[in-house]
Amino acid sequence: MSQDEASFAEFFEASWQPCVRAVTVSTGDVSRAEDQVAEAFARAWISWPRVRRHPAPRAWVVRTALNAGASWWRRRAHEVPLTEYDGAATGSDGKPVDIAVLNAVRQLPARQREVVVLRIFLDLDIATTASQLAIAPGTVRAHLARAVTALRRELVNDDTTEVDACPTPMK
Amino acid sequence: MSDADEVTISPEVRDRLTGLVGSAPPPVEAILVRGRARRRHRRLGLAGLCVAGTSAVTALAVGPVGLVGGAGPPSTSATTRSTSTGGASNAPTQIRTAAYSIVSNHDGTVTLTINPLELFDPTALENDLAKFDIPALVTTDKVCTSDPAPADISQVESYDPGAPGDDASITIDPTAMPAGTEITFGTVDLSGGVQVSYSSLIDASAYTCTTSPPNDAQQHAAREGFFTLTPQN
Repeated sequence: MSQDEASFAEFFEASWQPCVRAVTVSTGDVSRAEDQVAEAFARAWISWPRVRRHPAPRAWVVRTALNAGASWWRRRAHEVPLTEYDGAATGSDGKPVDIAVLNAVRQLPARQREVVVLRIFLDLDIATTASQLAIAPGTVRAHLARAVTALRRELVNDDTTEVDACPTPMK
Repeated sequence: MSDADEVTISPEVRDRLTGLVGSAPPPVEAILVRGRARRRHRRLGLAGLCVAGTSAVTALAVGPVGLVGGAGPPSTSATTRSTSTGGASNAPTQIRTAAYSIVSNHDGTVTLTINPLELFDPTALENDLAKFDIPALVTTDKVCTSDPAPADISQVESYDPGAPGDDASITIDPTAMPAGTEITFGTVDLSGGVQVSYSSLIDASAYTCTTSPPNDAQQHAAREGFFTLTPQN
């Protein structure tokens, strides 16, 4: 394996799951997200000398993945309305997706969802998140604070029957 | 995460979010192979490299009814091309479906003709164009563009509205497509029952799509020929 291949492989192994999570919350379909992310990584490999110097390579992959699956027809054919989710959606490993989390994130306003994807899923810092979204760092913090509050409310409420497994979140 | 982050994310929320999907990645070798195949495909378009001009979008075809968005065509026929040495290659000389036809010309260009009265599967058209060495992104209800455009679309394709009663066609020169670019085809609906069809050249790794055509699409059409607008029946 060449040096380029090795560095790409390291990036790929570390970034696959965050990118799939990020695309899944946009598409609502984990299997399609995996397909689109795989395609995006293939494109990243083609342009690896450029992508590796990108300020946020994971964001590049996610954006490319979303573009790769951007066809409205595809989305219409495969997207399952949230109200019809029954917890049966699974990834390639057969494990079910956390539908409560998926719904909670997808119910966020678009900008809050974008901030969550970049800041939490892709682990970008505030400055890079702001740069990727072309907004001010303070705006990122504001959106993130609102999003986290909403998610905490949704997910804590959702966990009330499993209080032993999920203690009260820290303030 | 940054220590300077002013937003506290509770571990429970963070764990729930990062536990959304946990599927293991496929073998990286599969990704490398997929990328190499895509790279080989794109190299076919290097010979006629040209980068000039700023025209990003050109009119394609506008029909009296919705153009695309349904199931695949009811029937498809294809014939393969003969090489100069007399042997047959896998590339077809033509593909004909009820909704569109793709024909390879003697000068190396490819002519796509769309029947606006038939619905077609965008993915099928993408796949069929790929057989003619034309990487394409086919969408409905959105416009996809790169800014700046990677090349002048008029260097890559020419549009023929066809004689009255005939279908519009577009002739594409695959060798004039810069590496890493794709041709997009798609439609968006404006208010008042007006549908816009378009074609553009995009950087495959850097483009945006919008479901909302510009508010001043009519003015664009009049001023720059950016869009061609035809009322739907």
